[in-house]
Amino acid sequence: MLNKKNILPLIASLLGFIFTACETDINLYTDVKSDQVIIYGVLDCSAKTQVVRIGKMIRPDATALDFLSLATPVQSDSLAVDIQEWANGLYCNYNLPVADSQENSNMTLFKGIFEPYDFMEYKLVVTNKNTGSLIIAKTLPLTDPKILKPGMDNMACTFSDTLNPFEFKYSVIPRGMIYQLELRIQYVEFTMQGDTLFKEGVFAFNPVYVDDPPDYVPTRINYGKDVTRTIPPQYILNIFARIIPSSPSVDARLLYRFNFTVWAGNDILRNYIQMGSKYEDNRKQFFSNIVGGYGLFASCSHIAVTGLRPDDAFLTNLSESPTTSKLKFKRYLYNGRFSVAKDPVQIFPNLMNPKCDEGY
Amino acid sequence: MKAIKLIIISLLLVLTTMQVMSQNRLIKGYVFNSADGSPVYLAAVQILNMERVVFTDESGYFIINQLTAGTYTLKVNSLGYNPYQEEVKIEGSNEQLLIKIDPSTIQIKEVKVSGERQRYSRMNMIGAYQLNAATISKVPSIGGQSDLAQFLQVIPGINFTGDRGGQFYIRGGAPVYNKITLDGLTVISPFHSIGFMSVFDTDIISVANVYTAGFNAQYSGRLSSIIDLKTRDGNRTRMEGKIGANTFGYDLLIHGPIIKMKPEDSRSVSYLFNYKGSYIDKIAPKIYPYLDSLGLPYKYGDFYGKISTVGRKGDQLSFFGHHFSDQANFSNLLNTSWVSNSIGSKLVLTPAGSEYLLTAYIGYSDFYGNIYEANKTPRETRYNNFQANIGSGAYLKKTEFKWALEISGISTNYTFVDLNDVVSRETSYTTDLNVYGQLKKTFKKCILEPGINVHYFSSQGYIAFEPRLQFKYNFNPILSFNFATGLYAQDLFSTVSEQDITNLFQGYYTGTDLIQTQFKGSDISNSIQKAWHGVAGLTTFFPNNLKLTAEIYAKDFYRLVNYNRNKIYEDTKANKEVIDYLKKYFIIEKGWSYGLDLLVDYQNDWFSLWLGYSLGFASRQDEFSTFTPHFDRRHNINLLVNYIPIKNVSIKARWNVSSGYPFTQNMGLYEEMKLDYGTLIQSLTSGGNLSVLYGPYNEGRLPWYHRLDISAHWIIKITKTVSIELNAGVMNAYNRQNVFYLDRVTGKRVDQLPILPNAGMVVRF
Repeated sequence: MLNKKNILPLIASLLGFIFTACETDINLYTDVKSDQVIIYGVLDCSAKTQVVRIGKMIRPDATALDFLSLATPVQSDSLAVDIQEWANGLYCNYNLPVADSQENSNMTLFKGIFEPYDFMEYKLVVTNKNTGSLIIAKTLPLTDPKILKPGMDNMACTFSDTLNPFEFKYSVIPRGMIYQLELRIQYVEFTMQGDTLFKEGVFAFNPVYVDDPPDYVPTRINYGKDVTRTIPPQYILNIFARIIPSSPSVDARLLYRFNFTVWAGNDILRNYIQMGSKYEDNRKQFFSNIVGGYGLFASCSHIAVTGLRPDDAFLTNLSESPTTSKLKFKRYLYNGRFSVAKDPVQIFPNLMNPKCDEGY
Repeated sequence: MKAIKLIIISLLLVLTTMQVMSQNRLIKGYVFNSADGSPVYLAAVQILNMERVVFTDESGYFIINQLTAGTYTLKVNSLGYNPYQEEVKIEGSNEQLLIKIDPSTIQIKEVKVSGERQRYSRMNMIGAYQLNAATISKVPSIGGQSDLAQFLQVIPGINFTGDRGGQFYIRGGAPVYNKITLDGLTVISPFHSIGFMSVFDTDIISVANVYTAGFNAQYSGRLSSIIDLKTRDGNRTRMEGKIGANTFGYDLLIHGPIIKMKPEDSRSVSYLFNYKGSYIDKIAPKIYPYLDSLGLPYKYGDFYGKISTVGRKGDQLSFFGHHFSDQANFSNLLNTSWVSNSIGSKLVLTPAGSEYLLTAYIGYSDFYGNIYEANKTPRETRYNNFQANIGSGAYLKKTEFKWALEISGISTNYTFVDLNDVVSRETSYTTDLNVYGQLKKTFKKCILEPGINVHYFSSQGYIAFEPRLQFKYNFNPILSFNFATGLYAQDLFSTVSEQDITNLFQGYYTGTDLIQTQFKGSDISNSIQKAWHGVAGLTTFFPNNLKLTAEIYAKDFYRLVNYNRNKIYEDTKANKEVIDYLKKYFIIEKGWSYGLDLLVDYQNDWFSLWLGYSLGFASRQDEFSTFTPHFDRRHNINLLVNYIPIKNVSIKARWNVSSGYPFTQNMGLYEEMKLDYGTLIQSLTSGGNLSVLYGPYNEGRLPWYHRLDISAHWIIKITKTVSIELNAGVMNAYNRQNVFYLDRVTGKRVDQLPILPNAGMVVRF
């Protein structure tokens, strides 16, 4: 059937086919083009200014290598952004005009001035003026969380008491399903060059997820269970070491005050953060509660206790402890006029080091 | 309890049947290779002037019964051996023989062909491939030695997803639905991360039975396919071995007698030890400087050992164990490793005065794997398995009955990080009880082989009845029709989604806590996965050693448990209103795979050709959507050519061309709000991360894949027993750029392995 003579044409044909076969290019993008609008809005129920951020999907023609150069903001003139405040079938409409400044992204900011009420329902409506198409999302607002400890009558933080470590305690609120405690450390930095810098370091504790918030009662604030965050002496020193860099150019530092803020988020924000913050492989799912587009429209609220001072023993610890001595803090507080830096030092435990605030 | 009663009643029935069947005279025994004392598998044993032919099993055992007292001439024929003939006088109820046949240096072509046809006509080989070291050696050697992992890729119906962490999909079944056993014990992760290397040294494989669909009742616990490997025993007459080294690694094999088998006796003890290791991770940067940044950071070490004894009457007892390890270290990106160990023992005996062959094995295997990825918490998995199996068979004139009882205790442990960044450990235990019975009835032109497997999954409290049927009709000596069907059940599932293309790590789990509780309106009370197979085909032997096989198959995976890629909510009380589909770690799916496989197999003294073509279709359906799984490869062609231009020199080539796998295209990119833990207190005005909006799932297609591997081998005989084999080869000979992965955002592409020349030397003694 086969012999050594006719095997050669077979091999030659095969080689010919091999060298002429097939493209290697990949169509990374779908043929169907779509102009998707990406919307992020988190209603801050403790603030008077509300921000909605709108961008659009980018479709590079060839590859995405030059994404940033391709990134262009949405045509803000063509969009009408409104937040409707609904109750009993009636609503009040707040139009959000384009903010003055464009951030360094392809997102456009729309800002409105109003303070949400907890008994209302809020609906985001983005209208394309050219096509008439609507993008809609809804969220329920939150009341402010309640801080139970430290009380307003005691503005000192006993960070150095090992037997009774400092506790921060707050009550959960209706619809509040994620809570995050923020600590701002205000201090003054004296440099070798003779400059005096006012600085603020921000540290975010891990979020607390609450599965069973209290029911919403329109006539009163129905607080739920208490959440306590204990901060032992070494823990607070570790936070200092974590967020404040040691620097040879620093001559000395003086501590000024501590500010604590409790942030609360509703179920939408909780799901968005849970889903996107950590997943065990690279394939992150896209959470969206926007109808007609992609993105997030959720609610948050917050309350702060400010001007807390540490006890003297802590100041000694801060100055002498091996953990923080290189930061060059003195044993006394700054008692002058403090002006908060416009661009505070913000170090969040993030995906690169998700355990950093709990690992001490 | 109900299950145990059922199994006891079944066993009593089986034993009663066997007792009734045993009232006859018979000849039984073992056939051994006189040169090395190894059992001869598939030798044809025949009584002259009688139609009946029986074939020896893996232990060399045969039985011819339903005889009357008298003198018979027994003839034994086997490929590669001289014919053997012996006068046997039956006086008592049975006669046990010990036959040693001599290897032949001359193989008569006609005998070879007719022998294969004869064997084939008496066996149900639907969807099945029987491989031995010689068959596997037909593929070009990559890294010095032909390997099972390379040969599997040329079998029609088997799809392989790539050189680096690629997975085998056998006729539409994912890797976790494929069971691989080594001397009866389940082996988890039998292939190395490098993709084209298995843990098995080809020289220790006695036979590898690959069942791609429709396998009979003797196999259970998997939905799609079986690879059943049997290792060889050590040489019982003299010490043999090999030392090999090549560009990828090295291998050592030594085997020989501890107590030598004498010509007139079968009593002997032999040993076999094999180790193969790699150093490619160290030398690749020097010999392949053009490799991309991923390089070849793979490391493996595989040890296998076996002590085998043969008694006076040919009964066999062996002890064996393995230690396989693998590591892929992509420096800061990913580091994964696994270790697999086992220890076991197998007994094959024919009790005095009995016609039964009793086989029993007991063993323990352990698998541990982990993965460390940049910015992620490590994941770990462990799979422990204790297995004990006892089986036997009874034989009438044209009827065989086989049965076995197996008990296995499996524990799985999987450590992972949940959405709250909490390390979770999921542990599951199960004790499976499994009994099967399989009848083989041979008619004049056909063979009917019904069977039933009853599998009790204790942790689920579930009994699976799995009827199976194989049928063969021989139209004439050269054309036959085959058919097989059956139901299959499996409790093990993996933490790999069928949506994942390459995986260097997968966790294992058998529990029920994390799975969807309702599927399309029906309650799901257990995690047992189920499938049905149907396969039919024609095989014809043309003149001039040409064999053509055509098969069509369908697999209905009517219940699968799959890792949930749609999970976006944590499964907590807060999300009690959220549907399972969006919060459970594992979801229920179902799906079909079907296709057509063609194989042309030709062989003569100086040339062999293996041409396989597969046309395949696969689909999956979850709670809400029907989609194409990523292994849905439409066309796959494999051409394997062996050419022997002169004595002791051979040239091997393999060319694979296949249509592209599906993948999900990008719809576009967008700037996503930052998602780290500070999200609650960050302003919406800060910059975001670049993210991808996906298009419809798996509606894009990768480009066609093709690759040519070539190797040349030259054997230099030094003495009668010592030879040196020099080999040189090139993988991906024309440096085809087959895509490995693509960065969705930057568009940067990493291809599969480029052209890789390799060379090696093996000294055999």
